[in-house]
Amino acid sequence: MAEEQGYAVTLVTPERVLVEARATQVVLRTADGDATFLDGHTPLVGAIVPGAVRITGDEGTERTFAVHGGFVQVEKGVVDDGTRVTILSPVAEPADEIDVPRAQAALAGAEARVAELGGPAGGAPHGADGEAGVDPELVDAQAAVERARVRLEVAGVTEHA
Amino acid sequence: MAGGKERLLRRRIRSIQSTKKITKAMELIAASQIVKAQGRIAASRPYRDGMARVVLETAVGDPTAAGRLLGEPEQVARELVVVIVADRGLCGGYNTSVLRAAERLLAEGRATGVEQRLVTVGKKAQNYFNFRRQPVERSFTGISEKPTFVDARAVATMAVAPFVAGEVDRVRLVSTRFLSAGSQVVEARQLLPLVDPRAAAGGEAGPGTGEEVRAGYTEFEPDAATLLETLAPVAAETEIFGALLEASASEVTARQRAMAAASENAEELIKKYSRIMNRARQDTITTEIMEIVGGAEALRAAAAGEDAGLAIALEA
Repeated sequence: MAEEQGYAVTLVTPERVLVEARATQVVLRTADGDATFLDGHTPLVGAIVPGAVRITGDEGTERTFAVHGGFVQVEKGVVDDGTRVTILSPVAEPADEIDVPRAQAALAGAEARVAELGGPAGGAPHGADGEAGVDPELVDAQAAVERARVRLEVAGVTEHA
Repeated sequence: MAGGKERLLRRRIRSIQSTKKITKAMELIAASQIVKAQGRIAASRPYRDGMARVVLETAVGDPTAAGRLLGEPEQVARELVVVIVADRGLCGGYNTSVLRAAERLLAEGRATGVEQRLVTVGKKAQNYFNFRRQPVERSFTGISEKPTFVDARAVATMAVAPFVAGEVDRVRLVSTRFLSAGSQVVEARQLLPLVDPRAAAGGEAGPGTGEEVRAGYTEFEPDAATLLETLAPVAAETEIFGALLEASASEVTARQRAMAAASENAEELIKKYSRIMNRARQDTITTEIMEIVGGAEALRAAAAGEDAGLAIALEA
């Protein structure tokens, strides 16, 4: 039932709803830096950059998720006159579902592929000429590097090398 | 001669029976897939609804932010069309009706001098356009039956990037909408610029949405115009994912219906041919009896005649 404490939080991916709970605090990373959402936050629509999302439940437990981009929306007065935070992410997973060895292997593999395809490590040469001439494989590989890095970071593993 | 006809019919019936077994099996498979496909649509609903709310909020919150990302394009000189059909046939008119709608769109574009590019999903579209020598920029196959979000992303990259880069003025999508298990419609709709949710909601939005109250109230981070730049591709991608899911549900529904009709038809044919065969068999038996009776009669007559003949011969 609706508790006195906390507000409604949902974390949604296209394929499933990861969290639908009441929370007292949500921490996530936007382009401007980390942001914390408490009850009564002003309505907001923001873009999330890949990183961790920490949700503190109304019973005090904290859950961490790796989120690979997305949007956050804070609404007011939609549910029980309270705050509602909705996090939409195309790809997200709970920290405890992250397979660290696999992410490490993926990172190494993806970095090797980026190097092989001749892309600069890290920076995306997007829209080099306004033409869709960007090698989609390279973009894929770079995205894979980014994903693996976020996963490792969220799982609490310091990046290798 | 008559026995030959019967044998032929028997063979025909047996062949229809085995066809019926196949169509029946396909019907059952499709029926089980419908449930799964509907489940996937339901699972994607919260995300799609959430995305729609974010777009609405952004559109309402800062009406000046829209730019070329929202609403109707001012003029369309080049456009990209995404067509979603199935990889396989045996699903009634499912593929043809989508392709026909796509063809109409292309004809309309040719008539108005709009330069068109084509991205397709499904082997059937690939075959169709290849046969008509219609160049296809990219054709995705093997995803139509069970689309994942990763597949949607791949399609979206092809469809959205040209728009973002300003190579096309509009992206349209031709696919089948899954309204319910009983009703699916082929629809051509605009993907990018994003359909303005305010316009889409039309009069039915009503005062319940509290649109006026919320306007200018929401913060944007980054500002609405910048936000919309990241939001538009993601929203389009979400739309494509939804369209793929609905298309796959429509596909299996169409297949189930087509196979149910085929099984029924097979049943009817079996009945019809069984009747013809039984009649043929009865005819054969009747003819045989007649022949036997006739033969016996003839023999008896011949026997009588022979006696008489002998008597005549002796007399001579």
